[in-house]
Order: sequence, then C-alpha cells, then structure tokens
Amino acid sequence: MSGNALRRKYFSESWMLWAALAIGTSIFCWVRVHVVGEFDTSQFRQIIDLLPKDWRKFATVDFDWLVSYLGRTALTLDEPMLLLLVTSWVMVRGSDVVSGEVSRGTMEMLCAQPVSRRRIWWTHAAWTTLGLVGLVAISWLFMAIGIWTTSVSETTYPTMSFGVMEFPMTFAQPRIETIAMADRVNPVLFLPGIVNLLTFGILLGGFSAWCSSWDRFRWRTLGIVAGFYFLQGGMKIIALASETFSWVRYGTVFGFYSPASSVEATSKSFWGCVALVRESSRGEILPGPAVNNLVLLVLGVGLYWWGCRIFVKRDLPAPI
Amino acid sequence: MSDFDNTSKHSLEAPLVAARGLSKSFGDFRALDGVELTIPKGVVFGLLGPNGAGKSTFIRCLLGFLQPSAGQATIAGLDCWRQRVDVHNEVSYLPGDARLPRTMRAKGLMRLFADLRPNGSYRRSLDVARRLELEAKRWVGLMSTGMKQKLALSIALSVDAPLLILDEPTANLDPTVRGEVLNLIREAKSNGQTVIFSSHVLSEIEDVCDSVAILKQGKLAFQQSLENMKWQHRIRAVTDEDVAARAVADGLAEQLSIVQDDRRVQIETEGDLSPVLKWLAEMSLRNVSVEPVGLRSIYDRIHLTKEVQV
Repeated sequence: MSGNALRRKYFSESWMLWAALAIGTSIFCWVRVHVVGEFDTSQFRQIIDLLPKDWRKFATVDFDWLVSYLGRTALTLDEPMLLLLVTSWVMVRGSDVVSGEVSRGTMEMLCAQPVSRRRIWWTHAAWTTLGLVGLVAISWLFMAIGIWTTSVSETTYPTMSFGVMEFPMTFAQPRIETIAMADRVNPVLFLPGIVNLLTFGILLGGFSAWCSSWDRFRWRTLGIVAGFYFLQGGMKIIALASETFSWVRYGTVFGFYSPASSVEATSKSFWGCVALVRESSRGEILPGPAVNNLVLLVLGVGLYWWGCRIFVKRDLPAPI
Repeated sequence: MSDFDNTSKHSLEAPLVAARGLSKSFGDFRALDGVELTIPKGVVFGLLGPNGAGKSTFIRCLLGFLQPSAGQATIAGLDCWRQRVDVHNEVSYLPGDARLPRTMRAKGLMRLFADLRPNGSYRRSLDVARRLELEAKRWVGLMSTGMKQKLALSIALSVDAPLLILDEPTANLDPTVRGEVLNLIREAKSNGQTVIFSSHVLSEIEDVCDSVAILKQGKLAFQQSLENMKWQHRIRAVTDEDVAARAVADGLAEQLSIVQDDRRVQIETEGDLSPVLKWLAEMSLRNVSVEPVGLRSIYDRIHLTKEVQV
C-alpha cells in the first residue's frame, strides 16, 4: 500500500516533466529521420568525400557506413539534442531523491512515515528508470515512424553490363527514383543503440541520485551533475581528436556510449549487438556493444546502491 | 527547590519516550548534551526553549532523522535510530516548518499520507480538515502558509498513533483555529494518545500540558508537572529583617528560595502555603503580595538568570 502511495507521489511530481520531454523526444526523432530522407545519400557521399580526412577521426564508426541511410539515421542516437532530452529526465529526477526533498523541506513528513529510507530510494529509482525506459522507447518508436513515413530519392545511372560485371554510366542522364525509406533502413537494427542509450541513462541516473544522497542543496547537486556531464563529454572529444590522448576514452563514461557503432555492428551481423570488442575505422580494438552496456549498467546500478547506503545512514538536516 | 520533578502520578508507569544521556554534536557544536528525559503514556508534554536550545534536535533524534552522538532515545522501547521504521508506526509528526509537495491537491495529499501508514485514515484527515476550516480541493502550491499548516495538522492529527509529536502546531494560525487545535490535542489525550507539544507560546503550554520540560543550550534545564507547579508561589515583600538568616535559624532554608536585595525580598515556596504564611506573619513585612510562580517566571528564571532578581 505504501509502495503505491510512493509511486503516486512520484508520478504526480514528475508526469509533466516526462510528458514535455516525451513530446520533445518524439518530435526530434521524427524530424531528424525525416531530414535524413531529404538528402540523397549518393550526393551526400560526394560531399563527405570532400571533407578533410582528419574529420573522419571524430566519427566512432566507419565513414562509408555513416553516409548510408542506415548510418545517418543511426546518428540520431548520437545527437546532443536527443541525449540532452533523455538525460534531462534522469538528471532532474535523480537529483531530486534526497537533496531535492531535503532542500524543499518535504523530506520531513515523508521520512516520518513508517516507510524505510530504502523503500523511498528504490521506489524513486524504479520510477526514474521506468520513465527512462519510456523515453528511449519513444525515441525508437518515433525513429521507426519517421522511417515508415519517409520517402527518399535516389540518383542512379544506367549500368553497362560486361558479363558478370556492371559499371554505372555516370556520363549518362541520371535517373532519380523515389522509394520508401523503410526499404533501405530496418528500424529493428536501432534497438542495440537504444539499449546503449538506456544504459547510459541508467548510469547518469545513478550518478545524479548518488550526488543527491549526500547533498542537501538540489541546485548544487544539479551543478555537480551538469559539470560531470560536460566534463566527460569534453573528454570524449579529446579522445577522438587526438591519438595521443585516445586513452582518455576509458576515463569518460561517454567512451562507453556509442549507439551508432552498436547499430553498425548489428547491421553487419546479428550477433554483433552482443560483441565484446569491435575494431574501429582506425584499426583500434574498442569495447563492443555488450561491454559498453555492461560497464554503464554496472556503474549505474553500483552508484544507485552506494547512494542508498549513504541515504540510509545519513542525518537528515532540518530544512533551511 | 528542585527544577526536576520525578514524582508525577505517571512516573510509576513504563515511559513511552525515554532519552538516556542523549547527545548530538555537529562538528564542535553540541546541540544536545546528555539529555535524560522520560515521558509517560497518556500525557501532553510541553517542550520549551528558545531558538537553538535543542528542541528540534531532540525531536529529530526521536524520529530517527539524526543519529545520536552518544546516548539513546527510545519510543515504546524501540531504538529511535536503529528501529526507526517501527518507531514511525508509533508516532505521528508535525514539523515546525511543515512543507508539503506543491504538485498535489490537499485531498490527494491527505489520501497519500493516509496510504503511507497502516494506521492512517483519509476519512479522519478530512474530518480534521473540516474542523480546521481547510478547503480540501485546493492545490497545495496555491495555499497560504496558514492553510499549509492546517493541511499538515489534518495529516498529523488524523493518525491513530500512540505518540503525536507536534512542533509548534499553532504557528501561523488565527486565534479561532488555534483554539480548535488545542481542543484536538485535548481529544488526543482523552483517547489515550501521548503528545509532545513544542511551542514558544507559554499560555498554550499551560492550557493543555500536563508536564513541561525546558531545554537550554542543549541541556535539560527543567522538568516538572504543571500540577505541581500550581503549588509553587512567589511572595514579595519589603522588610528590614534578614529573611534568609531567619529561615536558616528556623530550619526552613531548604524549603524556600529566597532572594533579598536591600529591603526587598522575594521568596519562592512549594507545597502548602499556610505554614510559610504563618512563619512570615511573625516578621514585620510590608507591601506583601502572593502569586503563583507560573511558567513565564520559570522560563525567564532559567533563560535570563538562575535566580529571579527583585
């Protein structure tokens, strides 16, 4: 009974935020996929070929794969906007569990009820994770809707056949064909990337809740979490940009967030989605989708567990 | 005269609340310092003290919000820190500064808190809200401070728990509602509930409490039943005699508290007044006045000086 009451409390506190983020996420994913369909991949490839070679190192996946419809659609999961929308939920909710309630003064009456702090903590964590699952599911659903409702134009050239070999006649008049995007992109392939987004969210949720467990001011908790987020993001950029500092990727949680590479691995082989290691376009051996998800999940759950221990043992200060 | 009275009629019963050497430090600051206190069942117990005296810290230790630095607090024999969930089954608490989630309506919040505990009742919450003239359909975020206090009272006073801890329950309320809150506290007592009533309003404490404790700088400075306090009187007079020396000579020095400044004398006495008046009649006194000591005087004596100056 008390569990239901707690769930009701957390729902009433957070449904508006969740609904706003869900609307933002759905619009973004649908529009992002639709925009992919607006550009003819073959023309896009020509543009990409003109880019300096150094730029390729910023991509976590093979550049040739990246210019395909599948690759460009998969990059939706790497978009900072989508990450911000999804992680906003876990950061805002995670930071609220202890320091939010303490700083608002609402922890007093809640903790005076015959409900253990453990139950308060894990109910909150479960609710946050459920909301996260909903948001990543919406991300996938609206990417899929975008794929199902978008048509793409492809420029093709007549081919000349020499026995078993065919050559495009690029000197001839090109033929523009309009086809359904779903013929080129299978939405199911994005599921491993979505799982990576989910585990990344669990990690950030765990970190936010852990910070909240020992803090008493929510503004400070949010500041620490936001600082951590941008610092870790910056570290990933450094790791990608410089071979000398490529080791930095193992010091940032973003190093384990690579949804496009999960999609790429799955598109090449079904079992690629559970591969332990993968080879990058630069020939480096990097953690595979399974290791990425496992590391993020273990860190996230570990931080939730640690935060729970802190919350159970700490003094609850009077509201200021 | 002792500031500690352990002879109340309840003292033979097992105490509902007990603090034994209860201390709480925050760094170098000692907020509670070896508090020894017992509260029997079925009484309204007043907790007094200026801001920073340790009242809230004491209450927060009872609720298991703070881990004692030393000593122990128990409610119904349960350790307040280690068994706090069981303790919370025995306690209903109204915080001094009751802040409630702003995203719900009053009704929803009353139902939520009723559902959070096995002995909670939504119907009783609504009854208390009606008595306190609270509009239960209103959003909490749109309520005034007084309305929020009424809502918190509706939640806290509706619980059928053996112990109610009310930290300044009448703060921010108008006089009519204050009276109703005091009535609710009396009803709780008549239903066999024990109430810890922390307040700065001495008249309210005198109105509803059976016993009172005063904290000063984290220490228990005074504990007495109000029934016994009614037998304490203060006699003021002007005389040329040395009253203190006369009391020593007549063997009354231990029963009386005497402060004499030049010709003005103040005597505090406990128990039957007639033998003291007979003794005083033998002296040449002028401008004699006799009055009950009262909580105000005791509070001032403890917090201003140790002895009342005339």
